[in-house]
Amino acid sequence: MADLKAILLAEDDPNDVELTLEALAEYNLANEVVVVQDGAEALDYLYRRGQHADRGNGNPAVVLLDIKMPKVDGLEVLRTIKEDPSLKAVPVVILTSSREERDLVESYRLGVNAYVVKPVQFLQFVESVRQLGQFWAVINEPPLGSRKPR
Amino acid sequence: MVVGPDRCLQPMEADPIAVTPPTGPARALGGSCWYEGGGVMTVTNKVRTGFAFPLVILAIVGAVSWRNAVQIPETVRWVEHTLKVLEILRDSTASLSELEYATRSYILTGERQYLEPYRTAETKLHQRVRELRGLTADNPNQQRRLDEFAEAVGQRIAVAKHGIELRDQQGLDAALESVRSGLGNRLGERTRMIVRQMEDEENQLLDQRQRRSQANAKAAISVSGYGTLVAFLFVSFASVLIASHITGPVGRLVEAAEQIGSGALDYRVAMESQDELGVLAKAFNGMAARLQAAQKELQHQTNILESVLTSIDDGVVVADTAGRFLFFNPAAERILQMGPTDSGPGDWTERYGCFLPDAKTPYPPGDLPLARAIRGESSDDVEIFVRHSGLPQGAWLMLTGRPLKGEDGALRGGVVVFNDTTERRHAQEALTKERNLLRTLIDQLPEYIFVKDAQSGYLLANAALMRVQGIASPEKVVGRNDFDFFPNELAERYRAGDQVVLGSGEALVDQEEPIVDPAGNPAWISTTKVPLRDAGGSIIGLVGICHDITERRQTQEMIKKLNEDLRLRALELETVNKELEAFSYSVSHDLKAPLRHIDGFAELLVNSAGPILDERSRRYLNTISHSAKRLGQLIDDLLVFSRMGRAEMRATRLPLEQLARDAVRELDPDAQGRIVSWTIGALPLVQGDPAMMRLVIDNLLSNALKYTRTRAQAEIEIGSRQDPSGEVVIFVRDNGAGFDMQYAHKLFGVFQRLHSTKEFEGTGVGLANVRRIIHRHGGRTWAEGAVDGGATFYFSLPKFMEAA
Repeated sequence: MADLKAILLAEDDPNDVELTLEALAEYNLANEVVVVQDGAEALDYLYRRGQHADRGNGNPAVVLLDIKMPKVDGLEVLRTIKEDPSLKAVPVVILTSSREERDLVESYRLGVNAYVVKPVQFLQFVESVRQLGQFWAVINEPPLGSRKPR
Repeated sequence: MVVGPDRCLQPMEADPIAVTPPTGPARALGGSCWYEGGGVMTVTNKVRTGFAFPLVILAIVGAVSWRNAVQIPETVRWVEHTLKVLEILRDSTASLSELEYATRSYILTGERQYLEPYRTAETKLHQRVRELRGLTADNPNQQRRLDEFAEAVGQRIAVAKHGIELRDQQGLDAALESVRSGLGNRLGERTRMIVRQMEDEENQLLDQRQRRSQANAKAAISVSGYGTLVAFLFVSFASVLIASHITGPVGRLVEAAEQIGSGALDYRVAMESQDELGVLAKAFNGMAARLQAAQKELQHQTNILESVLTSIDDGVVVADTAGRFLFFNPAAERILQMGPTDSGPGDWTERYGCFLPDAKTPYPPGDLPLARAIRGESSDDVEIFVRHSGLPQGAWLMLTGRPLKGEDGALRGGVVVFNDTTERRHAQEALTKERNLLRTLIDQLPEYIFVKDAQSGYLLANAALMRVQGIASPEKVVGRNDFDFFPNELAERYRAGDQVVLGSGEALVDQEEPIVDPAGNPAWISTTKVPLRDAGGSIIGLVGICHDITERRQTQEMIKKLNEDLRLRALELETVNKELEAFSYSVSHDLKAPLRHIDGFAELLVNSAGPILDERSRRYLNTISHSAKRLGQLIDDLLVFSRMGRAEMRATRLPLEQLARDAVRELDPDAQGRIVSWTIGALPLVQGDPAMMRLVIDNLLSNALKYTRTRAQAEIEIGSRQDPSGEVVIFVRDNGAGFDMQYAHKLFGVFQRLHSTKEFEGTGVGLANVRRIIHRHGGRTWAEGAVDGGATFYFSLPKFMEAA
């Protein structure tokens, strides 16, 4: 477990958090999923400050960001990550229900690694998250035999 | 005049005003001193030679006479000299005798009284010897004799002295003894003999001199006689000679002078001699040549003058003070159609048909320019109308008259110069007519037209401008400027424009300027000013034309105001749009989240509680999930629709046909398992937003595909036609379910559907989107159809949208 990097999920909506975690669990991801409620907390986690001051070393395997969040929104977190040399390498995925073009354009401008519109349909949503999780947390760094047995 | 080598005659200098170069000997001799006195027998030399010889002869005669004359006193002197010598000699003899007498007397008597004469005689003797010595100094013979004489006298005196001494010392006897010795006598004799010899000598000399003097006088007489004769002969000869050498040529010169004086200017003196007369002749010939040249030149100039006067177009008439015509050139004859007349000034008006400029009143004869000129009065630019039987149409003349005066200032007559101004007058009339026409024309124009001079002073203004300026007659505008007509502010503005044109020489085009209209209301004009140049290209003023643009300005201002309103409206719209955007953004994020949750958790419930749920419960859950999805779809479609209304359009050239083919290809999966016949006609290039137009085509074709689902064979056609109005019309036709034309107006409304979702799924946003996009491209949409009879959807694009 400690060998696997965590997945940071920044999502203020508990329903979405639950659905996301359910979807990730569906596919037996071994990674720890750290859930934060807003952008500010996400940054606290990334910079190990506030309530996350004493967390273990290392950046997350991937950051899943909702755009519309209280305090600091997802695009702001994205910008901070991509502007910080120490965080720049962390893959960031924007997970959002918005199809608004300006969000898409702005995300890619800031250097997002993937942009996923949350499908309303649960199965589609699960599939999206599955692909994301596998791609970033597993396939990129295949931890052989590390999968949590179901 | 004496002419010598040092004073040669200079050749005649060419007269600086002479028209032709002087010819003849004087010129041919060039600039050197042509007369050399040395080797030439000049007249002077001839005269000198002719008179020199007689002069020499006369000189000789004179000399001889003079010498004789000089010799006469000499001779006389010598004679006197000789006589004196003879006298002294006689005197000496006398003194000697006295001495002897006194000595004897003393000796005999012993009386002392005799010693006195003795001494006197002795002294005299010595004196005589001295005198003789002086007088005969020139004669050695006499000197020699004188020496003997002196010696003899000395001895005689010594003997006498001795006798006296003897008498004194030894007495009478001793003294007598000595006398008896005879010594004294002998000495005395000898002395007398010498004196006689000397007397002879002197007498001989006297004789010689007298003879010589006579001979000289004789010679002098013959010399002067013959000499005078010879001289006379020579002088006579020389006179003849000189006469022949001088009077002949002088005569010829006189003849020549008479010839030339009588007008024969080509007459020349033939004289080749190089003496003064030759020079004179050559000078004379030169003078004659120059005279001839001058006369020729004068004649030439007279000829020129005459030919000028004969050939010029102006009439020239000269008359003397009595009014007799002296000159009447052909032009005068041609213009007047009449030649000179013998009648006097009083008849000229009648004879030549002269009238005052009114062409009716006969010209007062005394006022005619020529009549005035011969009275000594000048007249300039006098206009006379001439008409007579030889000139029935009449002619207008412009005359100038001048009196003619001699060098002494006396009036000799008068001249009048005139030309025919009839044509010019006609041209002027035509010009005036043209000017009036032009004036009428510009006065009819509503534009303000003006001409200004280089100082911005008006030269001309048309009626429209004069109304603005408030003046009635065109003359009143001349010389005035804008400051006389307009408020200072406007006048300064116009003046500045004038100065730009006058200064740069470039036209000022469509300058918009304020003005005050005739009613005093502010108005606007558009002014164009163009520089005016003279023949030399210098700017002499400007011409301007202004038209009233008040209405246009008002319209422009209205447009400006409308634009401003529009801008404000657009700003408002933008604000609304932004709000809408924020709204749709939040819809996109927040409205969809609960749906997603409903769907997600319903799904989770099915997964987790599936086995324990009955069929009905599962169906409920499915319905919940389905409804959530449908609402999600509706929201997405609405957001697209909303975006289509707001999104910025980027118009480019679009090949509709390509767009249609791409759409058909992408619809292929939906047509799987069906028989669909696609017909894609020729579609034009249009101008539009690619994404939007693609949406239009997609919507219409997918609709057609959807609503033909019930057909065994679907037939779908997309094509175009050119509307007579210029619009491009695109249509999509199918043989599908069609619709009731009664509801055709609802087809393009949002959420308006003519079929149930059960029959044909859909949200009712697609056609609304089509309409919105086409409207934004400036086109229209409409549809035709019948229930189960298929449907045709049309949209048009305005012509200018079509890419040419």
